[in-house]
Amino acid sequence: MNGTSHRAPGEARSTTPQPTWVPKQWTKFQRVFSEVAAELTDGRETARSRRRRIQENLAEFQSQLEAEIPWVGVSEHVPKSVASGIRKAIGVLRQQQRRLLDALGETAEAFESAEENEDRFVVLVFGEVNAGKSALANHIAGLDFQAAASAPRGESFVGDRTVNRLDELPIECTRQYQGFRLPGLLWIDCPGILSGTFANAQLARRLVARADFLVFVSSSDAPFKSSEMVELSRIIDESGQDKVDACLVVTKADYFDIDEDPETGREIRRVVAKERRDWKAQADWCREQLATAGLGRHLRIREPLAVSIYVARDALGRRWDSGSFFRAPDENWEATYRTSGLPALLKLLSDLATEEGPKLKAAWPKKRAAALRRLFDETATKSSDELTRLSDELDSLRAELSEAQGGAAGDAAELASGEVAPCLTKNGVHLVDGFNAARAQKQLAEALRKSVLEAVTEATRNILEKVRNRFDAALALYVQETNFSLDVKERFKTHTYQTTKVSEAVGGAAGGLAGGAGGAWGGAAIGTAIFPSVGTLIGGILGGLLGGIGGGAAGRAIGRRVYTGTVKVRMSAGTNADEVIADAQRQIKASARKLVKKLFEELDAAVFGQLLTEIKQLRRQVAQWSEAAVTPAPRRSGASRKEAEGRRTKARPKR
Amino acid sequence: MRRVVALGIVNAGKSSLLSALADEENLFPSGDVPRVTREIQQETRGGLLLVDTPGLDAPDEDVELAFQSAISAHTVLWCHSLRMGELRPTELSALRRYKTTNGLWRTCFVLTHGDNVASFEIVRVVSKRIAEQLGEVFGMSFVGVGEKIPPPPPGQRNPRPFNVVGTIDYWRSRTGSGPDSERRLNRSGVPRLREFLLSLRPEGGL
Repeated sequence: MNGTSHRAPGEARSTTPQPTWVPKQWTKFQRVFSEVAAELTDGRETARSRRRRIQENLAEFQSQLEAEIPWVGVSEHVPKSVASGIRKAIGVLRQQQRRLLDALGETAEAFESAEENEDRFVVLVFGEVNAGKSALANHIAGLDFQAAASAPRGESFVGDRTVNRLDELPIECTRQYQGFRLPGLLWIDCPGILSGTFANAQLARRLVARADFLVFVSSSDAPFKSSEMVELSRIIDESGQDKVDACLVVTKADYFDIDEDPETGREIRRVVAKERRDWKAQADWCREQLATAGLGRHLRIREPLAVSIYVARDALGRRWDSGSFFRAPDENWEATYRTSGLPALLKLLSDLATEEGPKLKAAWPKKRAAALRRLFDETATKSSDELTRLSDELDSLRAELSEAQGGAAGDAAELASGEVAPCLTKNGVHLVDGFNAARAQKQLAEALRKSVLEAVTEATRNILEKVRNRFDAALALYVQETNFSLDVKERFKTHTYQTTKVSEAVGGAAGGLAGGAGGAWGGAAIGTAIFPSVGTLIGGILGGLLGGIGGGAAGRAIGRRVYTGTVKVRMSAGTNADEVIADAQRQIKASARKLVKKLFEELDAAVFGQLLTEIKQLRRQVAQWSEAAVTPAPRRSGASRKEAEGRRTKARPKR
Repeated sequence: MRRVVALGIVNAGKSSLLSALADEENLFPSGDVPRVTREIQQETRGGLLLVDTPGLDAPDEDVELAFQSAISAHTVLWCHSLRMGELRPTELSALRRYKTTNGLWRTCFVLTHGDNVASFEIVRVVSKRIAEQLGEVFGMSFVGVGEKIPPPPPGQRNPRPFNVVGTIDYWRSRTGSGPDSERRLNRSGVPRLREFLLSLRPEGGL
């Protein structure tokens, strides 16, 4: 007997004495939880000391970022404005890292929640909108079989409001944190997954880190669809646990049957549990879906359970949708109740509490640490990946520039040496007394400058343009990428990303670009404008240095001071004119090469050297972020750091 | 030949509905697990070319396929199971995409499993909510089952009311006989929908 006629509301209600049919499985269920809860070990102290450690570690990292930016190995001749520009670029990197650390700190804090202070098991239920989560909660809270007045009864809540029971309307999706409390048990309906709001996803993330047991719920009408599996794997992945204490429950495993009363013509609706055959197919499907998603071994309980709240209520003489009493159950009600599948679920939970209660309960600080670690890991990986990409880009730009150096040096040498013979001839090298060596030397120095300028300009023109663009883009991308995917702080509050901050952070790189392109060659721009845009600076430095050699406006003074000294052609009077010319040519070639080399070295040290050193250091720090979530104290000694890094690389495949 | 295409998410009842319209049980295989229809399947029965499509929460290329096939339809039956409650995010996003194909004028919204819910109250409440949701998507007013249809705004037509169908009822009535079966058949909503489809001009339009 699993059905009965469905009567109109209000009928046979008020006059009936309070029913006392309570399934024994439920009686046991609530007893087990209240007993086990009394002997639970409190994990709060552990959790708190863990949090203190995390915060100490994060503070340590922050202070590392406050340290002064080192400025070593750069010639004093690099203009001050360039130095401060590079510092600013480094500042952008650090600022970004700082923001990430801030976000991690706030996340760690946000994970501390009200649920922490519960001396109960926390069961968290996930499922799509209208999957039947509320009905399941109401039933397990014992609201469908109010027994004697002394018997316990779940206290339902929606947000911070206490309610009689949770709303089960098929149009009202669970948008709020809701559930019930029973002695020893806190049951939370997680705001509907796939409900599309980011805040909900974040709340879910936090709750998972606190829950003792998860229940994934899906409607039998289309159980565990691929879209749900995606969500499910995300939840499991974000928990950071290898084996999650969870089970799958398929709800609404029932169908309706409508008949008409042959005499009255009234409609008779019966609710029936799904046939075994149908259920078997569904269970197979669930297992298959788990396997496809690669989740099977990550779930503690792999066998899906099928339940039907309507069948259960029907057995108890309750109305399907509201759970209110309308008739006395028939003699066989316990057998019918068993077909609802709920006794199996109640037994599963009771057994879990009996056998593993204290162990499960003590595990929550560890679970939270795992979730945080997973989050820190994600952030660190992202940041590290982006830093790596930035430094790879720098390396490749550096390589391109240094390739250009060879060509430029050769060209400069040839150009300069070609000037020697005409110049010396003009100055009377062939005349016994008329050779004006001093004037020749001055003219040759000028020729050398011009040659170097021309050769370097020619060799680097295209490359510099490219370097400028690529470098700026790389830096902007770093900021943007880390912002978009890692602004955990923002993500926790809302799902709208703060894209405006990106442009602020880069400090109008685009403007810098435009300004820099014009100024680079004259070398004047660097004297006045300061861009946090490093690409522009590269152009600027080169422009400044070249300006020094070639006599450009702002760089002239610097250039004179640095390079005049190297442009000396020693000439001894009275020797063979051809020998003098050859000697001068040799000297001028060597000078040209030296000059070009020096130029490139300065450029390299000022830009690439500083930045790459900084990036390397940042990456080293990032590698320790995820350790911060679990290690007892900040790691300082070389040995333990190495150990930590070793573990890290082992855990994740190398890039 | 009138080409009738059923659209909807997995287990929305597309296959069962088409089988009932064709009056041939299991012509379009349907089942309890959400994976049955993977590709377009079409059959001709009783003057209708019935086309079944993959569920709209299937992989993207399958959804594309379903929409492609809907473009050339005379009528699209957009199916939603009453057992699933209000429209889900996946359905809403599919509908928004569908809106861009300008197919609303040849679309008929069908609420399936009308005979497989706890009470008529659920049909009423859920259909009302769905009417709101559709209204938001299409910028028109829809009405739920049993609601009064307001006069259309000047120059516009009202969208068609929802068709509520129940295939369990339909097949039950086909095996039985007598006035009971007659009533059941009517309640299933299938004959009415079939008649409506056959009344369409073959060149399409509602």
